Parts: sequence; structure tokens; C-alpha cells
Amino acid sequence: MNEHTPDTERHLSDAELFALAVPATGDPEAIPPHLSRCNACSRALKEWKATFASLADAETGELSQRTDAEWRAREEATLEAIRLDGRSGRRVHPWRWAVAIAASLLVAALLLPGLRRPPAGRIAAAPTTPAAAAATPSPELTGDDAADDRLLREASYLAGGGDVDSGTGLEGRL
Amino acid sequence: MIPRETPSEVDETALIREIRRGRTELFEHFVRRYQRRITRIAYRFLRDAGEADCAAQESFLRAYQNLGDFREGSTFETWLTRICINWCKDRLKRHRRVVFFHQAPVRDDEEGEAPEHLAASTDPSPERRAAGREIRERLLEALGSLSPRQRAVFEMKHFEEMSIPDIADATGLDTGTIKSHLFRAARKIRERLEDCRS
Repeated sequence: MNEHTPDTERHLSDAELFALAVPATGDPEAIPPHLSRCNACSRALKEWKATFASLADAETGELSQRTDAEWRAREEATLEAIRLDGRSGRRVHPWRWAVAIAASLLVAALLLPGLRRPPAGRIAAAPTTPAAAAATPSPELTGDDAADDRLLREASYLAGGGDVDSGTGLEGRL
Repeated sequence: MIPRETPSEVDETALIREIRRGRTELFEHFVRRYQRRITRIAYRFLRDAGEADCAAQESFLRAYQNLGDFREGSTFETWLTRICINWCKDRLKRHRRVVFFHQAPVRDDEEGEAPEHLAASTDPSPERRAAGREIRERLLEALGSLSPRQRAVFEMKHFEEMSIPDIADATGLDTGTIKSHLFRAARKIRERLEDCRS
């Protein structure tokens, strides 16, 4: 195999040839002195480099066999998909997040009052005036609890659309 | 409309600014320039030409839809590659294909003639062609011994000629991890080649 090296000198192994042909991170390895003296190893290194380069295409299977026309067809398909996407309005606008947040707030604003309002049965049972509310305290309540209870009833009345100026004195307490 | 053979010196960041301002037809430049490359990268993950085409098209579509998120410190190519790799990872997860780079089937053409460049070389002797074929078979066998992630990183570096920072950016790994994958992949291939010889 080797023509110009002393018999005692060892040829480069395949692993060494690979390391020289394909440096791990791209930084070239130090060239062994043997390489400059041995034509066979020098030729073998070229062989390894060329074969490795050919693998880059071979490893992409049928893609490497595609013609320019076939690639163009695929490019056109991509462009058409993008055009369709633009026409269908899926194209993303810079203000999309603002729109999404505004929509969420609107939904929340519409739903929250409905959630806070008591069920229909309880509304029917609720007193219609602060006077009526104050007139029906629970007999088991202590003095402080009765005051709290009255306050809550008045607040409930106001939340239900009662008139603040009807003389309940609630606004003064709040 | 940008001509099909766009010179490589085009300022792509400026182009993106124009597209954001509404000149959407300029996006064609990116498709013409990067579709082949992105398809190849997708193929390295998916090992299926049809799926790789699908990945490339979806990647462009996502890039187009999210052009507002593109940061000008990066290059469009790296950003697009990242989108593509993420798409491929999602695809593989959905299909539960854990081993996606291993055991690539040997194609018929791999067992036939030596590569063209060898046949056309200055020394087209049968011995040399046979040597090239042997090297090729052993390299393929050694590549097959790499883990999916090692192989993906190795192929992006050596076959797609991506820089280590670009691979890191595209995969979401740091450069140290990428180097570690590359060193380990190279060591494994060397060990495999030694084994073959012994």
C-alpha cells in the first residue's frame, strides 16, 4: 500500500483518516508528519473526504434526485399556501393580542353581573324596599348582628336597583 | 416581485421590515432561497420526503404568520430552521417515533455503483471505486450507530454546514452541548471504524 515510507512507520488507521477528514467541531486536526511522506495515506485521506462529502446528498434520500422543476413546483405550492392563508384572513396582525385582550374583557364584563346577581327565586323573596328589609330581621340575631344584617339587606336592595336617595342613611354609613 | 435568482447579498432584515409594512409578496424571496435547505433539514429528522415537504411548507407558513415575532438580532435562516426543527420534534412526538434517526433503511442505490465523483475522478481504477464503496458502507454503518440527537447535530454540522452557534440557536441547546454531541459522535464513529477493521 505504501510506496515512500520506511517499513517501520505505521500507516494511518481508518479512524485516524476519518478524524482528519471530518474534524469533530470543524477545527482541523494537527496533520501527522507521516501524511506528508506517505502517498498511500495521503490518497486515502482524499478518498475519505470525497466519500464523506458525497454522503451529504446521499443521506437525504430521494430529495437529492429531485429536478429543479420539481423543486420549483414545491416552492409554488408553499407560496400558494401562504397566499391562501393571507386571503382567508389567518394572517396575523400586530395588534392581535390587543384584540384578544379586549374581547376577553368584553366577555368578562358581560358575564360578571349575571354571575353576581342572585338566583331568580331569591330575588323574588327579597324585600322590595329598605323599609321592608329593615322590618324583617331574624329573631335570633343579637343587636350587632341585626345591624349588620340590615346593612347587608340595604346593600342588596341598592344592588338590585333601589334608590340611594330614599332615605335609608346607608350612604352615610358607607 | 423579487426575481427568482435573488442575489445572496439581499438585506433580508430590510426585506422583513418591508413585508411587515404590507409588501407581503416579498416573502417569495425566502421561499425561493430556503425551501430546499429547510426540506433537507426536515428530512434529516423525519426520514421521509413527503413529511419533509410538509414540514418545510408548514415552517414557511408559521414564519409568515409570525413574522412580527422575528427578532432582528438573528438571521431569518436560523429562525426558520428553529421553527422547522420544532415542527419536526412535535411531529415525531405525536407519532411517538422515539428512534427517528436510527436504523435508516439501506437504499438500493447504496449497494450499487460508487458515487459519481469517484467514477469521474483522476484515478477511476476498479480498486479505487471499490475502496470508495467500502468507505461509504462503513461510514453509513458508523453513522447508524449514533443516537438520534447525536446524528441530527452531526448532520447539521457536517452535511448542512451549519455553524455551531446556528445549530445551538436552531435546536435550543447551548453551544457547549452541541460541541459535546459533536465530539461524542465523532468518537463513536471512530470507535466503530476501529471495530470494523478488527
